[in-house]
Amino acid sequence: MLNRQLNCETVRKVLTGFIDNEVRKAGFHRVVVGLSGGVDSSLSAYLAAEALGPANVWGILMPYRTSSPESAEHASMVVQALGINSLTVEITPMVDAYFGIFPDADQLRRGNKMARERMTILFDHSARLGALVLGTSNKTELLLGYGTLYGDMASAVNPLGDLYKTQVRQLSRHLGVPTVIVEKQPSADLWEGQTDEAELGFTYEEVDKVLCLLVDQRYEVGDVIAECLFDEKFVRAVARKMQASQYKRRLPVIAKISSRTIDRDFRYARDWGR
Amino acid sequence: MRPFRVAVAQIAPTLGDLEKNLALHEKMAREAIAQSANLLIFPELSLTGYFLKDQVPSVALRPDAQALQLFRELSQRIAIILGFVEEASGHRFHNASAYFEGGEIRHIHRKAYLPTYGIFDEARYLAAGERIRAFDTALGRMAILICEDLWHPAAPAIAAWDGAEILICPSASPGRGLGQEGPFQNASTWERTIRACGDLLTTYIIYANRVGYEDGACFWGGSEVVAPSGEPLAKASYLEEELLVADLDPGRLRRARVVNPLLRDERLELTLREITRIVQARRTDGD
Repeated sequence: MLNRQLNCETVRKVLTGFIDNEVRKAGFHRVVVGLSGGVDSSLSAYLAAEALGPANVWGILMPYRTSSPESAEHASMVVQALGINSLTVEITPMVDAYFGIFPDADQLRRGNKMARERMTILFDHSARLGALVLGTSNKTELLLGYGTLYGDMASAVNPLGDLYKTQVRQLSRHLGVPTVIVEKQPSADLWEGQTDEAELGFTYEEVDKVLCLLVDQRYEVGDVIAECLFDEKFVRAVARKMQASQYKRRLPVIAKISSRTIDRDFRYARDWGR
Repeated sequence: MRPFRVAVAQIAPTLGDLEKNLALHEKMAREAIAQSANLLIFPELSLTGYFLKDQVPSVALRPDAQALQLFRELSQRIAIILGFVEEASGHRFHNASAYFEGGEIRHIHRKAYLPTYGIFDEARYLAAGERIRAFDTALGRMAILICEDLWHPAAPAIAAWDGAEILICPSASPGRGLGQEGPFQNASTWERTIRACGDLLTTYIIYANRVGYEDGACFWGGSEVVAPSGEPLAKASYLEEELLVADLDPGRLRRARVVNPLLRDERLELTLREITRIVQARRTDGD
């Protein structure tokens, strides 16, 4: 089975080098990152502080009135530990004003709205501070589609997108992210008591193993099942989530009219000329 | 071959910016001259960057291009191997490396194996080279194989059978897979491959890899000079820019070939017969 253990020191070097390189190539030297108090955004902040220096990192806390106070405490711990700049912008007035018009909206709509509200604040501060928005989505949630399109999935540069959740935890421990943050139950913190694993229906430890086989090792779903490595229902559910969320990992599909269509036969690196 | 000093410029070119990369090449050449190197080797596509995609025709150069005049001049003082997109007749574009010496280009190798899988898409944009040749230089008989070329064992074997004493492999290898020893899984595989190549072919191998990032892919560096007995003589750092310098000694080549007379014992006609048989069988099978 694929070794998911990171050579942490190398990965740290590659990722800090990546942040420094990609941020500077874009003509910036600062980043802004939304701090939720969770392990992903904490790790992004740790890497950025090391890559660019703490004075060039802005951590933004964006609580809603139902957010757990613990989330803000943990985010503040990260700010303190790193000595980065920080700012708190409550999203309650904007979100509540909107749902005043649509009071019947369900949890999903409310959660998505909050994620997108936070995104607009991050991108506004990108312009305000001359800072790129640093991503915090890991490979597990990107593959499962467990994120809000144009919400928490939006960023300019994402150092974590090729690390599974379990690897994020491993690297976080290595970088000295406070244990209480690394070990707590991951949660989108959209309502009280919500946890990722309860919502997804499996643990990150389990799902990362399956994703590793399907994605990195190129196992077919049938191979995983035939080798009785995991429960068939579980493997199929993971594969289904991955396929169903493919659209979230791509630009919007464009109807082809001309002889050269963006991203289809008009192909340049993002680092074109940089 | 004669004794000489080689320098490997482990650089991070800017993607698609010829002007900036030309200046970087010139800077490295001056540094190599200052260190009394006789040969300076740049990585694959060093003048242009690697993931060019639709930029290929925009950065392509003919070998007689004015932009390369600088290297013709510099090559009066130091031999230079650099990577560029060569625009050949019929507007075919090649991933090429040119050898400059004594004021002119003496040899061009066009990459023969274009990786088009996984992270790679070369055959979409580039034409494959049709030759693997050793060539004589003032320093010794050399052959150039670009990156993927070396992963097809026949290619380095042909170069060695053609008399190459020094096999040069400019490369742009993006790191992939989690490594326990090297920075990435494929870095360890590369190191095993080039050292085995040196050992089996009893030639010097100079592996010139680049560093830097393109669209999040990290080129891992770790350039090295491998002795004709397979052990690394000089090794550049991983991930960092560096000018790696090493001295090559004909005595070492001779001793390696005395200890392991593998090239003497090559059975080229046997190899040719068997290859001919396989090619014919495949033709008949329609494979």
